[in-house]
Amino acid sequence: MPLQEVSSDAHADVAADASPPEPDFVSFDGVSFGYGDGDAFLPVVDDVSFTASRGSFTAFVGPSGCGKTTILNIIAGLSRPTAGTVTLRSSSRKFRVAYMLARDALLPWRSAQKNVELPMELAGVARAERKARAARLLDQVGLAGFEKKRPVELSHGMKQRVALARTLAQDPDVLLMDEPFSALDAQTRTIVQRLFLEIWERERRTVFFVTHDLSEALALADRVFVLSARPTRIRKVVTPDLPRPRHIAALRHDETYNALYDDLWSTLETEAQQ
Amino acid sequence: MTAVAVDPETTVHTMTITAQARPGRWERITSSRAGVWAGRVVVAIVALGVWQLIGDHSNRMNFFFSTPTEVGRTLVDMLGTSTFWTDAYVSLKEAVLGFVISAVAGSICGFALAQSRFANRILDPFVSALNSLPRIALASVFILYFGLGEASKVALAVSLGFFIFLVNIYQGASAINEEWTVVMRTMGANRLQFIRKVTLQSTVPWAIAASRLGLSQAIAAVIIGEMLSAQNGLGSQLLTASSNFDTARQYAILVFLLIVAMILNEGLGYAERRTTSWSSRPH
Repeated sequence: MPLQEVSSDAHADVAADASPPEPDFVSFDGVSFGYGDGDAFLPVVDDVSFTASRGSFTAFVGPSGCGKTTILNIIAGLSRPTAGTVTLRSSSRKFRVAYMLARDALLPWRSAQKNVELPMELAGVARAERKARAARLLDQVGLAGFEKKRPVELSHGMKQRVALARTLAQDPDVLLMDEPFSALDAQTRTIVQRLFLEIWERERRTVFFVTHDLSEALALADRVFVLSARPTRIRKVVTPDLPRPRHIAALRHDETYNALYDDLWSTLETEAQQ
Repeated sequence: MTAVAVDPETTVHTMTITAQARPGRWERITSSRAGVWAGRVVVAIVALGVWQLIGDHSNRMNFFFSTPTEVGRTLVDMLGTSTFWTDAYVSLKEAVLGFVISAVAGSICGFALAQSRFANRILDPFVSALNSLPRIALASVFILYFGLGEASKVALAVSLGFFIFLVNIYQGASAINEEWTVVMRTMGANRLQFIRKVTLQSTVPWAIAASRLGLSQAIAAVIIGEMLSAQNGLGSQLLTASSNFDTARQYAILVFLLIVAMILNEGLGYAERRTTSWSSRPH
């Protein structure tokens, strides 16, 4: 599935399967959101329109307190837009959305394994299959051997990896990620980012990723939306034209990456001052 | 440091940090488990010894305080009589019954209250008002409603225990992590699934905390109820011993109650450690 705005991405074709391209997999059409009524109306998101194709990776950056999370909440169906329409199109089955947050939100009384099984339990997946899939997912995030551990026994980075495995256990069509790595220390963050990028480049699920970290946005995403201060509009779209698979550590020395970073930074700086 | 004139160029300040000295014998004793237990035994012996001395010292003191040896002897005699066990059975039955009714009714009400914000907002002032009422004062009303028998004691225990469970379970069931809600909703959990997988589980530590408090309060309520009006039960025995100026017997009954309460508390402590090992809270 070719990505909409990245044409030079030679590796995109590797993951392309037989399914037809779905360019408007997720579309926002003049979407606004706000709180309150009448004079007390507080606009948060103002007339946002975009489309995202199936398998695309979109990041949102913007000043603190702008409506980044609100946009994810709207896609998740947790908030309804006050105007406009959001369309999630899936030709195959009921649309599944998974949400990953900065904090792991694991259930502390469940083991790592049981936490990963939770979404499958809710969906009524048979016990044996559930167990096998959870074990496989934990292995995928590098936690084989930690299945029986409770969250209190795991480090921060490990807990977030369990959360990632649980998110993937939903087999989502769309992955919403709200600063998923922001609470980790710098070193752990790099490790988990690399792990996530590897998994994503293999599976190519549609991702919407909110972050404060510009380098993270550029390193992971195909397309970065720079949002304005509240009420949020899309101020700028940057498409990091970086080949995949990407190596996060090597990107620091990449000229295109650095130029994009500077460009993004200056846009955001002007935005933050308003 | 001192006002001695020294050429500043030649003054060198040094601070030396040396390796920590190995703990001395006293330090090893005070930080060991055995040392702590030895200390506890000493405290107990001193306390009992002082009590014994005071009781032996004068008849007047003996009348008011008795002595540990006398209390011990009375306790052993008492445990050998069937009347004592009949009364103990009555009191414990009332306490357990009161506790169970409180636990079931209080938990259900607390849980239900946490499910509806609207109901909670309506009922909150009423619950607070009833909860701040000194409910021991309801004893006279309960005697009127339920008679002089066991039912009025159970009612008194329930009036205390019910609110303990209500408040704790309500708090446990409403202190639900916002993030759990978001994640569970996007996983497609319906309300019943959410309650089963999240709310009930996270309420367990609160239920155990309520049980510990509730049990001791139930025993207290029953004893007070029996003191006010009863022909049997440990409370009435206490009262009889008091009117007979039998101090040793009163203390013997108190020691028995102490032991029962300690056993129950230890049992619940064990349950707490078993069921809430997932919690990061230190036990």
